[in-house]
Amino acid sequence: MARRPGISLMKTLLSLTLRWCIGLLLVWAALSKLADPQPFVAAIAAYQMGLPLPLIKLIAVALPWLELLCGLLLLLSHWVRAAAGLVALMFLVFFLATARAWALGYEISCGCLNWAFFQSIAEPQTLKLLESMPFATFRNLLLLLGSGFVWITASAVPTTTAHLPTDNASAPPPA
Amino acid sequence: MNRTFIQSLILLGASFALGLAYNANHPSGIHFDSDPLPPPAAESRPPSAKPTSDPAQLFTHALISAEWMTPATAAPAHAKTQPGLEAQKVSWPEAQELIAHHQAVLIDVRSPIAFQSGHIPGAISVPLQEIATNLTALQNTFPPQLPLIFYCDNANCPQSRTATSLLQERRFFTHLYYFPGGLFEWRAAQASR
Repeated sequence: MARRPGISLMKTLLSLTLRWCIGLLLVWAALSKLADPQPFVAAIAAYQMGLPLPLIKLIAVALPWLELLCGLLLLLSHWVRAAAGLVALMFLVFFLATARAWALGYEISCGCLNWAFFQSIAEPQTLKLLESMPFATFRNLLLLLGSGFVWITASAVPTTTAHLPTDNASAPPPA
Repeated sequence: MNRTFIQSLILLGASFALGLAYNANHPSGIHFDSDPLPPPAAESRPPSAKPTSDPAQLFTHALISAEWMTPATAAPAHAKTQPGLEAQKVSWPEAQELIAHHQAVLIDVRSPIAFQSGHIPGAISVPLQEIATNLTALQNTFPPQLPLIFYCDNANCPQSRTATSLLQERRFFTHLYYFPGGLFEWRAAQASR
């Protein structure tokens, strides 16, 4: 069946945009955790998911690096399917954890991102909203859907923008 | 084997390897042994020993006033907690009694933003993340027999219980309490007065 080039181009652009947005978000999240590793242990422990402390510490050690590697790979458009798959899996776990914390009424900090930059420009109530479980749950759901889309379209979307399909792809090459 | 699956395994392995290597060389890396720093022996330090450092400099985000630096005169007579034993759960009237008669310190373990938007008068802000990362600073700030009461928003927030659990591991403080009712119970008590 013939593919409609307009829809294909839009899908490609959307997938590339999502790659870059999710990639940048992951790099930001990873660097803020790597700068000061220990608070992440408390952030995970605060979810009270019954995980043993050594496992929480191991997750706190490895997860920022997984975020960083996957984020860089998405930005560089390499190993996209593997990176997007792992990212989608991460966001699925994050979504379930934050949704559970929200459902149980936990009023804890998400521990996902470092909002320190916004402290000088945003109101305390806004920052509290950004850190809240409902906001984190919705954000993780959107990121799960986004990374899922990137994963699904990974094989169809070229690895660099130089190979973007164009509507006049059938036009003869320049002499 | 599927190439994507192999790449995923490589990414996972690299994350663990890089994470462990980075953590081992990071000055404030995560310690995997349960008690990385030997806790000071409680016996070697009298309960009334003056803290050695300025608490305002010990914690990054803590909002501690000098009044809390007064040493505890005596442990609460009814206190049953021993180092390493279960921390006690207290209600607001019990917390009030501990504060009034035993100079207990009320510690708000929520985020600094939450603390600034409302807290129990007299409480100090030591976010849970600060407690987790800077247990030694807490030990240098407060004498071991000083009763510490931790609270957060309400019974649904686990941070106060988590804070006492983290401190119990160190077996330094002998009188740990958590006030599960937190800000909600305190506000209810104020409203009913």
